[in-house]
Amino acid sequence: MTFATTKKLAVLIAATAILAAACSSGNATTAPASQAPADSAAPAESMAAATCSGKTIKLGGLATLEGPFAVPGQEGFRGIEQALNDYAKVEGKEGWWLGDCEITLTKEGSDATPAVALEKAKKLIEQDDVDILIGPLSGDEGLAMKDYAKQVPDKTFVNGSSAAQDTTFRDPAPNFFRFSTDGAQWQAGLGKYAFDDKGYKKVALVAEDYSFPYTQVGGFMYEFCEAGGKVVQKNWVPLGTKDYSAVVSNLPTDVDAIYVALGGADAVNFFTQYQAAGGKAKFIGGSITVDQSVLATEGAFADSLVGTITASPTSDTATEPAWLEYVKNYKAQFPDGLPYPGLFALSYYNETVGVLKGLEAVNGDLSGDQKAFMEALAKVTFDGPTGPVSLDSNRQAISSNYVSEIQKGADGKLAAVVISKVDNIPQTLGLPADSPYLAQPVSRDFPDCP
Amino acid sequence: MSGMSSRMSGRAARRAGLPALGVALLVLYPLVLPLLFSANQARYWTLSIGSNSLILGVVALSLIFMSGYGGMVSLAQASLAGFAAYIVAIMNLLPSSTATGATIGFGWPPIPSAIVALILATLAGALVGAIASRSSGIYFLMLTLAIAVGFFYVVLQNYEFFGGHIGFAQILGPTGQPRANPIAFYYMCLAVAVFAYLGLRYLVRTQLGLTFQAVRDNPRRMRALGYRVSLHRIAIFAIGGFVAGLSGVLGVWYRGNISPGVVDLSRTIDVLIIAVIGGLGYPVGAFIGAVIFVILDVFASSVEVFGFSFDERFNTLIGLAFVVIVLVAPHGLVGLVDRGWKGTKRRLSSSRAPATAGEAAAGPAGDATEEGIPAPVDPIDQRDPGSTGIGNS
Repeated sequence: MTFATTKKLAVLIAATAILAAACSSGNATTAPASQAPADSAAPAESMAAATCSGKTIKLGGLATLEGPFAVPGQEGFRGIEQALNDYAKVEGKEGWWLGDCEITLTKEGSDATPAVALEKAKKLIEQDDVDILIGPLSGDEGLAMKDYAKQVPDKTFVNGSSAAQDTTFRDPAPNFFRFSTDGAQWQAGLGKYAFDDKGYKKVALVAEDYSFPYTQVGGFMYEFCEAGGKVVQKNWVPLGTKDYSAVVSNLPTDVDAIYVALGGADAVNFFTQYQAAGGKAKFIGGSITVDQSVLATEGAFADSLVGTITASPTSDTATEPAWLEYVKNYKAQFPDGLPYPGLFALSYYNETVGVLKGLEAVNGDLSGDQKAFMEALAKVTFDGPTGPVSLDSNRQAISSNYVSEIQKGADGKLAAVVISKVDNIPQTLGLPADSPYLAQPVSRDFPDCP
Repeated sequence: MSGMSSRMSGRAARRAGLPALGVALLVLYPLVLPLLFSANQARYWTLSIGSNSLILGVVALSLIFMSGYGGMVSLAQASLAGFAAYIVAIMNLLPSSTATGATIGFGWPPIPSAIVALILATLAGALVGAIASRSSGIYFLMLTLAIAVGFFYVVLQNYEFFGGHIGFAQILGPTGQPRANPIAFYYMCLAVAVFAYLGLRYLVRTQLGLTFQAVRDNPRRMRALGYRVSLHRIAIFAIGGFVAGLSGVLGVWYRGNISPGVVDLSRTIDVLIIAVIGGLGYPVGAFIGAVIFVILDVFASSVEVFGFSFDERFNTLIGLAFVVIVLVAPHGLVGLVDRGWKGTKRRLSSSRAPATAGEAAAGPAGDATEEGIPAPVDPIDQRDPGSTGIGNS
């Protein structure tokens, strides 16, 4: 074989990679619904009353459109668009409006790596000159975005669904706002429920190795360790792991349950391989571990998930009127969306509603390096689909959370049934400010209660 | 012979003229931008388009050098760049404890950090070469790919030295925060890119460079002549590692942070794509390819065709554009222009007078001193003992 062949091979590999990229974005895609018919969903509350005129307010949207979170990224954009459709539609006018100011949305997609997210954010802020950036989707991206926000103090950054704790908890950026709760808040109530009601005293955990699962594990362990539970083994696996055989064989058999914080395909792979290896333990699930994308997967493991407890800011089976209204609008606007809007859609939705409320409060006035707008934004409170949303002094949301249990419905399908719901959960989960649990950032080794 | 020398001098003039014009345009580029755009956009075009293209161009240049003069298409170049970036971060950061409690960081200034990084990147390149250079064809590709993927998982899961998934942040170059002084940062990138480009152009004309090409063209004969073929290939790898390292150093200063995403498989393939669309045989193609890649990557999501927005399908558009480029220009865009230009020239001269013997023998493929690098020749075709001159020169 000569080197000429090598070169041809190289060209071939490049072409294949390109095609793969083209296909992967093709099949994860559904039609945008930016021109959703105005009559399909009655606007929850029109903002035409605001006296804004003569300006265009430019929003930038950033979510992941390739890589492991491509489908959640679609959900994120649906969340932004639904909030605009619900709150900024004016009868008889195309587009979105605040008074007489048009609101535009420029979208960019990243691949869940901080480097790409930053490049795309720079493009939106510097090249497209957006006023307000909504995003990003995943934990590490959010941490990078906070650092970038500090360099651009005259623009407003609003989180997407990124849920790492330290995006707002330590060393926050004054112009970064998060109207969605973080990964620890998403686990509120779970640790206590596992210990008190389920009687789990000893658990092992399997989680992806990056900032979001650290935060989820932290939120669970704050309560579980405080109640007296033990986490005897921690297995951190890289995002996108396909082979869990080493992890499965390493799991202790004398634990009451296994806490699993894996997302999407990672979760499906783990559950399948755990069951195939004869594992019998009960599961405790992270917020994206047993959502509809996993539950709807046909697989022999499905029955083993019955009885799994989980906690999340959304629940498929919630019955509050505001939630039902939100789901109805989602289904009307996105016929090709998921069966239920998940936490990614809800997070982006709440962020965007927060932005629109803030804009309304200042009548769309973004002058003076947006100082007045940011002040108003920090004070915004509203009733979201799942309950009241307000911000703390770090501009981090205080909001609601559900604890649910996976049960088999009458139709044979698995669904998360609500056990309890708590409103107004702060980022500390109610721990005192000097609690040893809050003394260190969450990480692979902290908190710890072996 | 006189026709030959006039051809050479014309060529020399063109050789000096075109790059000089190119460099002049690149020097003027950031100064012209504020006249065309707002301050924010000018900064964006200086940094995210200009500097970023130069940084990606340098790493693609290292691949093109190795493929053109060594006949080795290495998939490890993005990893070598990333390795240099990690070393800069580790040398530059103040001593601090990582997630596992280990202490890392030396607090060196940027330039000494970069020098250490370049030395280590060169050694790492040689090491990769020592592992990979004895194989060829698909085995060579797979070996370098394995090294690239392996390195990604090492930095992803190693917390003691590489900071794990989060990597290192707040790394500043000698020009400080790029946003604060975009033009200085751009000129630094430009200087490094010109240095790498001219350095490699010079190198391939030296005896060592000619030996590299001879090793590429006919390793069996070179071995018979007493050259140590593997050692030459390792040397090519070391040089490739150094050039990739330059790109890595600039890259970490540009981003201000380093995390495993910078050395993942997509980035590895990005370098290959840049080299292929520019033209694997043309050093200048690295930069042309990088500019096209960056522009496509940035603006694909803003394209609207007949009211159909590509904002959520930008990858489809990028993919289609690359497929078209690879189909239309299998030798890259520079190759397309170069071959088109030579074809026109040959048609013109053959219509006036029959081709001279020298021209016919040199042909487009044997024209090693031109911009283009001749396609590697199969050793079987070159058994004619009369053409051994290059080995002993």
